Amino acid sequence: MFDLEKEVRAWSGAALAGRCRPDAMAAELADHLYCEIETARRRGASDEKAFAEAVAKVGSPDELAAELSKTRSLLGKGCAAVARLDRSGTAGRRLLVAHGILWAMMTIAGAVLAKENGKSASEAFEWMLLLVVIPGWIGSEQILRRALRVCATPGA
Amino acid sequence: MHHPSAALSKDLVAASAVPLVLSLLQGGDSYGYEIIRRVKDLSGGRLEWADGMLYPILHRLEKRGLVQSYWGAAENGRKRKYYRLRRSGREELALLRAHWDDLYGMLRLAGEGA
Repeated sequence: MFDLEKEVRAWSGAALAGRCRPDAMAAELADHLYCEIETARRRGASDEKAFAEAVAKVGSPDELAAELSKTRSLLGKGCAAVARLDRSGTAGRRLLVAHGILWAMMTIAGAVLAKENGKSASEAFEWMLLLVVIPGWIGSEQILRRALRVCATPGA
Repeated sequence: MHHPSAALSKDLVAASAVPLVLSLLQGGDSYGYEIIRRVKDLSGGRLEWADGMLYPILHRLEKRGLVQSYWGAAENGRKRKYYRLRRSGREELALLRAHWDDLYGMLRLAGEGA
């Protein structure tokens, strides 16, 4: 049997896949779709036909996602790209590994440069390691992990 | 040859979208579906927006601080997001209207001088 609410949820979830905070926008899109569905029902259409007509009018999830992506911030676009890549669950892990390698390379490069520039530079690097590099590494990894967790649940 | 009752070009539809949305909201708070329906009615069907096109515009206007959104309820109790014109939106609308009037004036003058 055709479950209208389930279909509407699936439609808005697919249109908003990869968005970090999809709930508010899903409710707005669902309201719009229901308005179209009610118009079709008043013409005598069944739930299934009314849903199909409303989707044809409002747009498929892909068409809507393309329209809505026009106003996304750079961070939001990055989040969507990760969500699209991460269907197998491996892209997120690769991203975390790449993040770790990047920070490790920056730390090693900093240490080599500091060593070549004498004792005072080495001392300055030690302080930088304590105050900037380590907190920055941990902080950015936490942000990345959180973004991956949120983006991994599209339409949630 | 173009007939006045023909549908408006894509470029004109895009250019007129923001002033139209702001003008409609000047008449009172509204929501996505109603805005699209009113635009269709006002234009006699010549200007029909793709439904998906409106939300990026509304969200952009909200980001710019020209409109403010709030949640309310539809007649059947369903959650509905409404948009309200802010003071800065009224000022922007006045500016856009002046620009459109200028353009219209230029078109008329250019036609007379031809």
